Amino acid sequence: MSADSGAITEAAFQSYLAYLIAGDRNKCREVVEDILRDNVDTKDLYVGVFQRALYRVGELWECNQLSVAREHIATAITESMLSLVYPSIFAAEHCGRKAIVACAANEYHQLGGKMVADILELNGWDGLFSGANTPAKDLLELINNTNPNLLCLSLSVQSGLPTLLLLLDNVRTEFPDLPIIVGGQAFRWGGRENIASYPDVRLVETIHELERLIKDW
Amino acid sequence: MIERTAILEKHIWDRSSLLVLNLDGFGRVVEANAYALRLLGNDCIGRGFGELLIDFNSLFELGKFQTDNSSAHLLNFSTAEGMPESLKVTYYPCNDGGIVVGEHDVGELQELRTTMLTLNQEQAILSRELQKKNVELQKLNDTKNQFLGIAAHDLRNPISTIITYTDFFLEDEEHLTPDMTEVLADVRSLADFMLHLITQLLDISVIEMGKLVLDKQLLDIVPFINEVVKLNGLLSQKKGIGIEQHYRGNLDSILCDPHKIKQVMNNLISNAFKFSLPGTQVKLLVFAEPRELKVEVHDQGPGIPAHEIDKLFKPFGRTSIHSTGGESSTGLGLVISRRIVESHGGRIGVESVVGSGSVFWFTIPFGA
Repeated sequence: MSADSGAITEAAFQSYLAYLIAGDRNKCREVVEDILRDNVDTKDLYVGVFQRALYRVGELWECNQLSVAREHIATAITESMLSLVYPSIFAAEHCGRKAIVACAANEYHQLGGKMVADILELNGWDGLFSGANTPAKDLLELINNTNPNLLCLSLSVQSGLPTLLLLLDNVRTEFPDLPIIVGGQAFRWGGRENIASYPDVRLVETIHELERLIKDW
Repeated sequence: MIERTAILEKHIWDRSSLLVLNLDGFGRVVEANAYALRLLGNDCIGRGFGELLIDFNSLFELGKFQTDNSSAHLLNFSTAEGMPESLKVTYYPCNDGGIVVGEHDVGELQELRTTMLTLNQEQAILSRELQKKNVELQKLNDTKNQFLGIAAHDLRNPISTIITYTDFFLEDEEHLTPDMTEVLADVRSLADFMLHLITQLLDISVIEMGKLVLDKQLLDIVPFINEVVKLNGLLSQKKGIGIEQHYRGNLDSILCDPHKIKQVMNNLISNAFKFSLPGTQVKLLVFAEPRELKVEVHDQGPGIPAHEIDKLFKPFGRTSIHSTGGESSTGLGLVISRRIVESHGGRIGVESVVGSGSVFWFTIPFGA
């Protein structure tokens, strides 16, 4: 957080969460605009509001308190909120390093990956986001064409782990020296030992850990 | 009346979008309607009802579910495609088990549809605004390039005059003190650099406006390369750096704009000299690949750190590496080279190892 930036209040978060669950995107927008007026650090908004609220929505879904449809509405609203922050994200001075952020084939949750790409941009990296459900062939081609310093793979749903591991095999065969990080909510349910068996593939638990990693690059 | 009930039952069983499961006394699925089979897969038969659910926190209790039918339960099923599907589920106990009926919340689906539609419309409007802004930016950029072109063009004449007058004064050695000669030599050198910078700015403005016109001719490769090397010979001797040439393959002729390609080669070779120490070698490799001509310029300079490579081909993108003889650089040469090579359909790049040197290369397709 910079010296003149404000803090996100618990009341602001709770109000955003309530509007998000109710599917009221106009009210969500008002809360986010109020937060941005307080000059809050973009990363704090991502972690303290967007990520925290979506984790809570996920928990409510897991406890059968919310439906899949309601979760999709919350995700779509959050994704539309990101555009409010873009002017500050893309204004950062670039350091010449670039990373590809991708979701493996059949992974349709792209918000986590998108936020990772934005955090990279905030730290002066070029965050190339290939989107949800990226076929392995397309990703390999993108790596070949852009020659990134880092590949970030996001996995939200645990059932996608075998596809992700297959993708890691493909990438490692074609690009043995490319550093890779993986992360996402799916690893709450396992898969850590699979990732640990790959050389130079690191599981990153939080956005703060990601930021530390790319700052020390 | 019986007939009507039978029709309704058949419809629910075969065609409706209600999920219906018959459970036995142990909570196992013994029968499922067509919709349930389509949603959950045929292998739902014989499985316990709890096994069909996504239950991360092991909250589901069959007994409680079977006894509490005061309202519908929100449950998440794992579909045949492995995706989650939320249904409002009611359990109706019967003599030898029970019937499970699951339905979608129509109000919620309607809300989802409306939200998605609205967000999609907003996205389309934003995309339109973005395209409009892009066109405006392009026009502003063209205007900036025009100003740049005019300014650079109009500065060329006065600077040429400064060079001419400086040469004139420098030739009059008798009336100059050593200090005056030194100052005038500095003026001459700076004016040369300004002229070079202005020429490159003019090139950039022409390229940026998409007005780079190639005058392609069939070029004899080896004599052309020899001529370029000869032109750089003076610089090579001045810094005490050797230059080697190596040729491979069928190097007959190629269709390209000789003036522009000479500009690229001069840029790469002069850069190699700038960043090499006296006593080292610059190697020029020219070889024919199946579909393209490849030219490589190898130096034994300090090399470029990997994270700075991307800066090289951007305007004024300076790296931490300094020239060995204090030579100045406009920061535009590689940008211009890249545009020239790409307009020929070729590629340009660099491989570098810190402490060992760099290889700048470009290709031109034979069928360009």
